[in-house]
Amino acid sequence: MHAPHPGDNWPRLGLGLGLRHVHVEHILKHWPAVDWFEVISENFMFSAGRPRQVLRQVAERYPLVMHGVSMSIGSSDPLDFRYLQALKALADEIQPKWISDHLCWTGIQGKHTHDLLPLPLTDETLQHVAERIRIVQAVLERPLVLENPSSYLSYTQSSWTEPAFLAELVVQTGCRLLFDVNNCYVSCYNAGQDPQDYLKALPHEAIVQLHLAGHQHCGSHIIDTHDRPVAAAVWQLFQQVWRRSPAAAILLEWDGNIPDFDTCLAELHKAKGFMQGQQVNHWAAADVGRVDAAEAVSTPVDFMVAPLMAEARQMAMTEQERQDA
Amino acid sequence: MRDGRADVAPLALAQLQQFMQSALLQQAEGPDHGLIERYIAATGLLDPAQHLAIYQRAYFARLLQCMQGQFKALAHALGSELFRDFACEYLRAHPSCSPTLAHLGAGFADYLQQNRPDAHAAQPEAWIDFMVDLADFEWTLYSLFDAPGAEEQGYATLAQQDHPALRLQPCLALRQYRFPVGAYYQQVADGHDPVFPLAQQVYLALVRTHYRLGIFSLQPAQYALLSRLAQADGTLAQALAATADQLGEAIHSLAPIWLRGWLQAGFLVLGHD
Repeated sequence: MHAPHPGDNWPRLGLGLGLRHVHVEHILKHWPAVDWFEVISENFMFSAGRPRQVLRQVAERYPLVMHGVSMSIGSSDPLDFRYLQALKALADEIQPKWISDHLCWTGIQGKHTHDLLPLPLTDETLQHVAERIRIVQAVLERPLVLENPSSYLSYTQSSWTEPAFLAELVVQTGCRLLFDVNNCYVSCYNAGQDPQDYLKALPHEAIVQLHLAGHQHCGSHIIDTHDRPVAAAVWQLFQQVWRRSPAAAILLEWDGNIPDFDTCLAELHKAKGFMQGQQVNHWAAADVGRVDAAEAVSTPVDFMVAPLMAEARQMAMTEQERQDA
Repeated sequence: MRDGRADVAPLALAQLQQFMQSALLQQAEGPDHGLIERYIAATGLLDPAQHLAIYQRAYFARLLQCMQGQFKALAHALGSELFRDFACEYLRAHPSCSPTLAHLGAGFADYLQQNRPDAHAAQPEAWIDFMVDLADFEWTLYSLFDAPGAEEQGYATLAQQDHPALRLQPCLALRQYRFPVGAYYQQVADGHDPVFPLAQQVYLALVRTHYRLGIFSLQPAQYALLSRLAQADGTLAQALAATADQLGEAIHSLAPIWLRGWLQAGFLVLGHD
């Protein structure tokens, strides 16, 4: 049994942002004042080009955390050891404060859906995932940090609640938690559950990081879009969680319609007020009562595709060609 | 641990994941309604099929956004609807098998070629040739962006132009196309709306130097010489000799001029002699 204990010494990182392609030039030019960056592991694990070179520069200036989307810890496929070795190699290079991924599966039979698909929360799944976490932790030589995913369905087979399932994984494996406040709100709404019940069962002492993000309310369901400011209801939930996990690192994810770096930073820094007890002005929030008819893409991933079109240029080889051009 | 026995999945989990993955990847066939109700719980707001449909809609929409990012010029040329149709057919035929999205479009150009809409026509249609060429061009650029390069090793310099160990650098691709896809791509990148180009054989070197991508036009003889140099681990002198057989002895006087341009553009490194 590996229940976390008070002597655990996880670094207090403060307020961070997800490192995104569209902000790289700004970051390399201004080295803005942000406490830390979270990087998507898969964007860099297999990179031998500019992304990895940029990451090395960023790692020299900021604390980093590696956040993965393809470990597929709950898949019925065998673990992908080539993937894990690449993850370990990247970690050895950039020395992240920790490595996280999601309580989900992403594909079977060698295929990847690039979605974070929910698991049936059963005793069998618990043992399966716990065993795989132990293997992953042995390969990575560190505890895995596991995030609650946003979900749009629940299975008839499930016999555990998600927070109880996570708590049991913590006890059995010593893993830690990345609690995504927005995902909790989204999943609870979509499952017809009360987020307060979720929080009651959550092992707050195991939380090392919190995620914040915007979502889209479609009336009958909520989509985890990461494409707008954080909703007032999520800030309220964040305030509650923060009181119970005051050492947790806080990170804003903004992955669709990504605004400029300073706008992302300003949204992140709203958290400071709420951490100090500022009331969430629920009725003044822009999202209150807003219901969108057109569904946006959940958990967008296109921000991971490098925007290289502006980079590739037609070049002249000779002076004559330059003159012709 | 490594043979997978330690994490053999429970049968019920494997069956459920088979159901879910099929529901996402093979939406045309659609999962059996009874299976949906067996596996997925209803809520007060949505029935089981509606819950599942959120994932089904998002699967193609999410990956389509990525394909549009990897093939921006092609998406511009085809228009959003036609591009979506081709991309979704490709994704249905070739679901991603990589943990990284960077490989998503790897087979798109081949898929377009093998599934040409004019496959049964008497004459091939030019716009399809253009589409296939543009897809290959964009994917080649995209691959070079993150491929192993020579940035740390360094590039050969003008002072080394007679060095016997001159070789093509690893992040360089030689391509010939039936249309001026490089010029078309550049116009789209610059925010223009170029017209469908006329057919024109072009020879290109796509190169990444100092983490920047360059598109260089080549003459046919330059393309032939560089291709020969790329083929085997031979020397420039051997490539020149072989190419002279095809192109004539004049190449010996032209090659030093070309070589200086290639060295300045970072085409070459010092390999093993």
